[in-house]
Amino acid sequence: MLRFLLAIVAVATPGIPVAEEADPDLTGTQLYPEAPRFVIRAGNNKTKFYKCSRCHEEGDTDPEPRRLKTRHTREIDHGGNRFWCLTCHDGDDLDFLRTSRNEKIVFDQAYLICGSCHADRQKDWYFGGHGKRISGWQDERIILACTQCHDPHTPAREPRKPQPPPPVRTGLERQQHHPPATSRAWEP
Amino acid sequence: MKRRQKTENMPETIDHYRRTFLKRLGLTTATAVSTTSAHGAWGGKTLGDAFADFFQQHYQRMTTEELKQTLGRIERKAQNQYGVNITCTDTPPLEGVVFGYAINISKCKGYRDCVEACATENNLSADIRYIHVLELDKGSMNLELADRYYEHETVPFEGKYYLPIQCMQCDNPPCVKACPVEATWKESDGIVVVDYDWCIGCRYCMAACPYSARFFNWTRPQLPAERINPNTNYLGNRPRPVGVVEKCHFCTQRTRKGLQPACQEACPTGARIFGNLLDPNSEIRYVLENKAVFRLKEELGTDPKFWYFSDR
Repeated sequence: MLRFLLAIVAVATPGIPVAEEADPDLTGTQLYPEAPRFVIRAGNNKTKFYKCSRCHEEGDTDPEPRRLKTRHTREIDHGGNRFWCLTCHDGDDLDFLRTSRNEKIVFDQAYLICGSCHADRQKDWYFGGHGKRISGWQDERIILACTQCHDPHTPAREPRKPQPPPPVRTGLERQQHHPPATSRAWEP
Repeated sequence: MKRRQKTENMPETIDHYRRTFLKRLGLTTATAVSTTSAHGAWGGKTLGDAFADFFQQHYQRMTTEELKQTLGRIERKAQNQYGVNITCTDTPPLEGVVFGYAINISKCKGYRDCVEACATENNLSADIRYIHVLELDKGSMNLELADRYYEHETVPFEGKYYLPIQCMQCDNPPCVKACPVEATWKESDGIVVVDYDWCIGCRYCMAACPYSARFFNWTRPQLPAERINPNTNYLGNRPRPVGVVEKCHFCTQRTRKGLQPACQEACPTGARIFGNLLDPNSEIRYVLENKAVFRLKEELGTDPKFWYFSDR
C-alpha cells in the first residue's frame, strides 16, 4: 500500500526524481508513525554505474575488520576509528547496506543506519527540524537523505568561500563599530 | 492695499479667468500630445497611462478592473524603463495560512547564498539587500558588535557564528503604525507588505523598525535588464520606483503559490525552515514545539514571526 502511495507521489511531482524504496516497511513509518509523510529525492546514479558488485562477487568478503589497501580511496573520518566498511555495508551483498538491527536496505535508506548513533538528529529529520526540504512548503514533502548532504565517510562539511558582502551606498562608508565599552567611566 | 488696487484694476469676470485657464490648459495638452510620441514625455508613458498612474488608488481600494489595468501599466512601465517583458500578477493571501520562519543558527555557516538568491529573485537594486548575515563572536549576543561585512577566505570562521536577519514579519508591526498614509499593512497570512505606488517615501517606517529591515530607494533601482526576474507580483518583487521603501515580503510571489521563499531554497545547509503556523503537522510547528527558540528584541512587544534556534 505504501509503495503504491509513494508511486503516486512520485508521479504527482514531475521534475524531482524520487527514490525507489526497497522495503516499504523500513520507511520510518514504524519508527515515527506520527511524523509527516516524506519522500526522498532519488540519490545520484553513481551506484548504477559503479556498483560494488562489479568487483565484489557475492560471498567473497572477508569479515575481518582491517584497513583497506586496495583502491577504496576513502579514508573513514567518522566515528573515531570505531568503524570499518562492514559496519554499514552489507558483507554478503555490497550493493546494499545493513542496519544494526540486521535489516538489508538500499543506499537511499542510509538514514536508518545514521539514526543508530544520531537518534536525536534522526528524529528531527523525520519531523523536519533537520535536513533540507526541496519541494514547496506545502503538499508533498520531498527531502534530502542524510547522505545527500553529508559524505558518510567524512560527514563534516568543508568550509567554503562566502558570497560577497552587502554593498554600501555610494558616498557612504561601511559602518564601523566602536570597541566594547570597557574604558573608564566619565569624569567631570 | 497695493495688492487690492492691482486686483481692482483687473477685469473681475469669472469668464476672463475661465477663458485664460482653458487657453493655458489647451496649450499645455496640445504640446503634451504632440510631443508624446516624439520625445517620450510623461516618462516614456502614454498620456493615458500617466493620468491613470496619477489617479491610481490604494491597493486595497482598487476594484478588480482597476487592478487589472494597473498591472498592465506596470508591465508597460517595465518594458519602457528596462526593455524587459515582465508578468505582473496579483497574488492574494491563501486561506488558513499564517507564515512563520525559523533559522537554525547552528546550521548557518555564513555562506550568504540566501542573500544573493534573494537579490536575484526580488529584483533588488544593487545597493539594497533584504537579508544581512551578522557575524558574532561565539558566546556573544550583542548585536551592536555584529559584523555584516565580514570577508574571509572561507567560512565558518574560527570562533564566530552567524545570525541572518531580515524582516521579521511582526504580528504587531511598528512600521505599520508609523506609516502616515497606510501604504504598508499586515496581510491575513501575516506578511507585512508595501504598496510601492502609495508610499510617499517619508521613511518613518524605517525609523520605527527595530530590526533595520526596511530599505529606501534613493535612486531609481539599478537593475541590469538581463538580471530582472520577469515573474513579478504587485505587492512583491515588481520593479520599484525611486523614492519608496521596500522590504522582505517572504517572497509573496512564490510562497502564495506553494513554493519556498528564495532564501530557503538557496540555503545549502537546510538552516532555514518555513511553513504554515496554523498547520500542526508543519515543520515550523515541530521546531517551535520541540526546540528552544528565541526571537530578537522580543521585549519590544513586536511579536515577530521569525524564530531562531540551535542544535544545542
